Amino acid sequence: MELFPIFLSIRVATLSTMLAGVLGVGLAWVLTRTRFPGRTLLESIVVLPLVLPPTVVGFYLLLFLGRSGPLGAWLEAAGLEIVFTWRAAVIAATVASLPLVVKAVQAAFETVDPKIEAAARTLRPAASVFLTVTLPLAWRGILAGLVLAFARGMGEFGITLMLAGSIPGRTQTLPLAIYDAVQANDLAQANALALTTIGIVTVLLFVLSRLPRVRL
Amino acid sequence: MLDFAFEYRLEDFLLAPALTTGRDVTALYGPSGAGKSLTLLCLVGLRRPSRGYIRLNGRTLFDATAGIHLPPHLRRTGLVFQEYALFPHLTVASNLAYGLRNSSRAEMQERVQAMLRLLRLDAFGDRYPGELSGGQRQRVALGRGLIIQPELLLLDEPFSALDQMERERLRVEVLELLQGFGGTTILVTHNLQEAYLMARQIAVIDGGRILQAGTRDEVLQHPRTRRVAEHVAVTNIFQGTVADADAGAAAISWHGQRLMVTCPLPPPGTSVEFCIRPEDVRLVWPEKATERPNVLRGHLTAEVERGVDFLLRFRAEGPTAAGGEIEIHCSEHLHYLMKLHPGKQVFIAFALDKLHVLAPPS
Repeated sequence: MELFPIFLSIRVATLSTMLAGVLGVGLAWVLTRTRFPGRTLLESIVVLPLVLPPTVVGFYLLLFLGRSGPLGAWLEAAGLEIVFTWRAAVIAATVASLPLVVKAVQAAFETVDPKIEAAARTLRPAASVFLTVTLPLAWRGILAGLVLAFARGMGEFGITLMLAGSIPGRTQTLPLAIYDAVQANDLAQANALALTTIGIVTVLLFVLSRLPRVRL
Repeated sequence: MLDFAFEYRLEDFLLAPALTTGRDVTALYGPSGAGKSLTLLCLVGLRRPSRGYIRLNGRTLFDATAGIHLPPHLRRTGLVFQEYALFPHLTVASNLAYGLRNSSRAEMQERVQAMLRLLRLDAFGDRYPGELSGGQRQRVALGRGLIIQPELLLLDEPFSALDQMERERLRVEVLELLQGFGGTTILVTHNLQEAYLMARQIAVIDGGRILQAGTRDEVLQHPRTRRVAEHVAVTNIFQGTVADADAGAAAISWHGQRLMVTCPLPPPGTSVEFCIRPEDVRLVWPEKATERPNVLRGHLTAEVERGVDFLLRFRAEGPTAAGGEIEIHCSEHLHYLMKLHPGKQVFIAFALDKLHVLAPPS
């Protein structure tokens, strides 16, 4: 069995979960705790990858991040190649999982009593309150969001194919490798990779279920 | 000393309270929707007013013109909510220690232990808030605010979530705790009895404005306007005409009845509203009726037994009947002695100094 797609997918899903986690928690906080014009628009944009076909999202990301795209040209000048590298796979997985994290964390933040935060704010600065009260109280919801993000990152197919391609040994993640194996009629390889995917996700879910519960 | 006057707009509601209080307990008393809690949120710095200022013991916490808006944790202000708002994921001791970030570990522990003792929760330091009773939780919430040695303590309906017995016990305990607290306390309440019991000063708030502030007796006995009078449960409000404005002989004519008063009056002929608290209306024995001023003869029209006392309604005889019914609070003992019942003829008297003239509505 080829091992590269397994390691690549774990790496991509881990990095994209971290990225989507940080971005998603920040966005969720902005969306639940602040009021500003354009808030609904921002929320819609964040959720867009959830409803659009992955190829459409991938297509515009390609235009945006490609060598002649506005951000792509700038990044290339800075010496950072994105498109058709493993970094593109991370970005694809991040974009795909961000709405899941934002939605889950938003729901988690909404369960935190604003009065508890208000009482905390009279005792400590806002940043400390966020770290010591809001995050711990919303922890379970955030964790659920991160699990979804990791699973989504492991399974990302469409956006990745558009943005990172399916270059064996370079950008071919697990789902792409499975597809490739099926296309090449190598069912044994496809089966081995598919079972590995199931194994990884099962272990992850098991570990999560063993984590201590937050006392409420 | 706390001194503030500010404006905060929330959609169609304009909050514009102004108040000056000293180092004791002031009750911010008013109906729901009056702007009480919003006032606290502005004072503590969680909402930023658009105009005005908030000063505490010479420090400026907020000043719109100078652009000063101190963040909540730098205001030295404790905040206690009705629903306790304890940190459910932290122990009682950690809840208390939350505001003591800048102290050394030893000092922190010492102060937490001292506070636990003061709250009579010595044995509960390692418990979680979910394991405590409502009254115990509210004590922790109070201790969490007091432990930072604030200059201002804000209590937002702190007893409302408790049952009657626990509420009464906690009121006494809180009063004891506040005796050792040298700062200013603002107690938000919609319960007049609680305001009177807990506070030296009462500020009546409604529609986003403080209608009147003063000592509790001043506000209860001398409401400035009809609106304040209604808020502080003065149920007897009547309309009369000034008969004599001379000091010493001041009197109001009320549907043919001449009522002597001690308060200053506008010129004779002026129409005035005057009031008397139902507990200040005296029932007079018939044989003593001629000895007293301001005696009315009439009969009782209704009575409600309220456990500790009776609420009676009285209508005068003759032309004065047109003035309307008068509400009287009467002790069970007196009710028994006088053998009172609806329909019985009785004499009532208004003490001169209890009759109070309201300012005309502006």
